[in-house]
Parts: sequence; structure tokens; C-alpha cells
Amino acid sequence: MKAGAARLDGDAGLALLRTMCTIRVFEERVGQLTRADEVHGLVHLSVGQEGVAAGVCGQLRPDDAVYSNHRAHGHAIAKGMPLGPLMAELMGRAEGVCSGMGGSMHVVDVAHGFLGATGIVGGNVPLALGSALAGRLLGGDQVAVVFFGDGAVQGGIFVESVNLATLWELPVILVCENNGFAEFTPRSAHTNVERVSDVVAPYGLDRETVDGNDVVAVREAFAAFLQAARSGGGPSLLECLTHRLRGHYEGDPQRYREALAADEWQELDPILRLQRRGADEGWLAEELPARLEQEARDAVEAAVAFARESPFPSQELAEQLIHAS
Amino acid sequence: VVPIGEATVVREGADVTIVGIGWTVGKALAAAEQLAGEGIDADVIDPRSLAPLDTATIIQSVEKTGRLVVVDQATRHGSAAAIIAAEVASEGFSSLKAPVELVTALDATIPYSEPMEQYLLPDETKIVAAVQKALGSPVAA
Repeated sequence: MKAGAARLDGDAGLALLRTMCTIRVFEERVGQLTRADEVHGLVHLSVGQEGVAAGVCGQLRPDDAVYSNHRAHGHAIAKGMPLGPLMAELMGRAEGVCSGMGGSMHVVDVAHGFLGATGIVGGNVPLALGSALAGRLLGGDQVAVVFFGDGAVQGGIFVESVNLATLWELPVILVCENNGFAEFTPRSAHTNVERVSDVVAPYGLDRETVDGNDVVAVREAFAAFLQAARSGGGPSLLECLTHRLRGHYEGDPQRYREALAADEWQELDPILRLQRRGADEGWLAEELPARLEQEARDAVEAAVAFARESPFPSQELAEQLIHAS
Repeated sequence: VVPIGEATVVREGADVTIVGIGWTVGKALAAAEQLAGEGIDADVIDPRSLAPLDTATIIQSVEKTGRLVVVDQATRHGSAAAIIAAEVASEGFSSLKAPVELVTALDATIPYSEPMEQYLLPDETKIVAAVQKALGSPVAA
């Protein structure tokens, strides 16, 4: 497993830091709003896993397709979905990115190439193949990226999709966020294979396992796979070992695992790690972390205000959207 | 143990039969209490299992009341409510004094936003309105 080796230029480092910080602040606020009953339904937060979303999505173009899963807010933000319409969607409002139809687990933003969250674990993988195939048939150089967890790998559709992607040499990059838990089940209880990158070994695609909490390592490994996919080199799999700091869903009592000690988390936290790196490499001035956090807080509060001011959708909308005309 | 294929009459009344499926039984009971205030006495039946379906208990009730309202959270097209209505039409037609009323979800995907969800799903108010319609629309003699 490689650590991010290259020295970052300051702009790239700050962009990664800004994205991770925005995701962290946004999601912690969503957690509060869930407890305050302003956001409804099951809510899954990616706090702790921000390095994967930032390291991957920051390199994509708007016309590249990203497919996410049930833990989608981070991917959506990193792919460029505006915070206001995202927050409004989580509150079920008319100005939500899906007019309140979707909520947390079904956010879609075609304009930003975010083709969607899904509540069906692993169900997004074949959809990403479809986008990759469409891009190639239309003669473009777009790629598709799909995020999934280690739990999705034991679904039959995963292997079916890997088989087809390699057979057809599709421009799709499979990004596994391996946080060691399929909902409440540790890896050891559902498979003997420790590394997802080993599961796909027989198919002959390029694959790598990186420390997913090292955003620079994620970025470097993904950059190589992206370049290959864009230039006709076919599919690849990037496994990012990461840690979900919060429960599977908001309110999860987490009886199935021990919490990390605070000092262990300080070592792992992708945001603190990049901050330490920035300080060492000399591109992060001492006052910047606090300033970036404040900017993120301001942006998130503006999104909350936008969402609260947005009306609820008309009740008839749900019926009207069934038939295209 | 709840027996399979055996409906239960959860409330007795002589004016109208309300069949509730799943959680809508609670809504049907609440609607029945509201209707009792208007002098309308409803039989409320919980089929408990849909396959096998205890059609006999439902028809027995309809023989007494002559009017049937079926409540189901499923969309109208493809609901168990539609099947129950068809069974009663097929086997108990002569007992019906009014068309069967269905209170189902509207034929749409369930949306996330709460006001839209409430609009689509059955509730007490919709059940009361359906009962009033069943009572107010007798088949011409």
C-alpha cells in the first residue's frame, strides 16, 4: 500500500482541504438537523471518509459520470453539486436538487454529472457501466466512476459488472470505500477475502489498494487510472481503506464495534493529515485551517438558510412526475 | 400465533364494512370512531393474511352491511384492495348496495418530501370520505 509520494502544489492542496472541510461541516450539520427533525428518513454520513470523495472527484470533469451509494453527500459535494439545493433536497423542499422527490438516498444532479445516489447496495455498479458504454458509443472521452463499500462486493451484481467492464474494456473506474463494515457486519463475518482488490484479480484489470485517509495517495492512484480510462485503457479498481467515524446511519447505537480513541483518530483523520502535510511542505499558512473551516461554516449556514426559505413542493407534483409528456 | 388465512373482525358495526390491510387497520379504526360520532357504525376487518385470503369473513360482513370500503397502502393498480373488491364482486355481488370504494396510495412513486408523501398515502380523512360516498351512493333499485 502506497502513501501519497509527490509534493503537492499549494493550490491543489488547498482545493483538497477545502472540499474535505466543506463535506465535514455539511455532514455534521446534517446530523444536527436530523436530530432536530428538519431532515427526515435514514441519513448516512461519510464523516471520516472525505479523503476518498475529494481525492477522486476533484479530478473529474462535469461530463464525467459519478454514481454514488446510500452515503452520498460527500461524493455529491466533491463533484460540484451546489450546497443550497442539496440541503433543500435533504429537507424535502421544492428547490431541492430533485424537487423533494429523492431525499438523501436518491440525490441526482445531471448538470454536474452526479448521476445519483441509490439505496440499493451495489445496484449502482452496473448503472455506471451503462454510462461508460454510452460515452464510448457516442465517441466521447468521458469516464464513469462508481463508489461502493466493501459490503457491496459480496453482491452477485458486483462480479457480473466487473466481468462485463473488463470484457468490453469500458472507461469505468470502480472506487471501493472499504471501511471494514457492511452496515453492522465486520468483514470477517461475511468474507475470507481481506482485500477487495484481490476479489477482482482474475479479471486482469488494473487495481490498487491505498490508504483512503491519505487524500494525496487517493489522488495519485486515481489520476493514473483516470488517465488510462480516458485514453482507452479500460477499467480499473481503486480500493481505499478508510474509517467511518459515525454510525452506519444517524442514530446507530454501534454496539458492533469499539469506538476509536481520540488520539488514534487524530492520526487517521484525512483533514488533519493533510493539514500536517501542508504545514510540513510549507503551503499551508498557520491561520489557514481555521479560516477554511469558517468559510465552510458560512457556506453551509447559507445552504441551511436557502433550504429553510424554500417552500415544500406542491403535493400534486408526485403524481405529475410519473408520466412524461 | 396469528393463524394464516383467517381474518379477524376488529370492530363490529352494521352500516359499512371497512377492510384495512397492514398498518391501515389502525387508520380504519380511527376513521370508524370518527364515523360513530356521525351515527355511522362500521365493521372493521383485518384480513391478516392476503394469500390465502379469508374472503368468507369479508363477504359475511358485506351481507350484513351491503357496503364495502377497502384500505391499502399499495398503489391502486396492483393493490390487494383491488383483488378483495374483485372477490366480493364475484362472490358477493348480490349483497352490495353500493359500488365498492378503494382507499389506496395514488399511482405514483412514493416521494421523499413529507407533504407529498401524505398526499399519496391513505389516511383517516380519505377513509371517512370513502365511507360517506359508499353510504351516499346507493345502487339504483
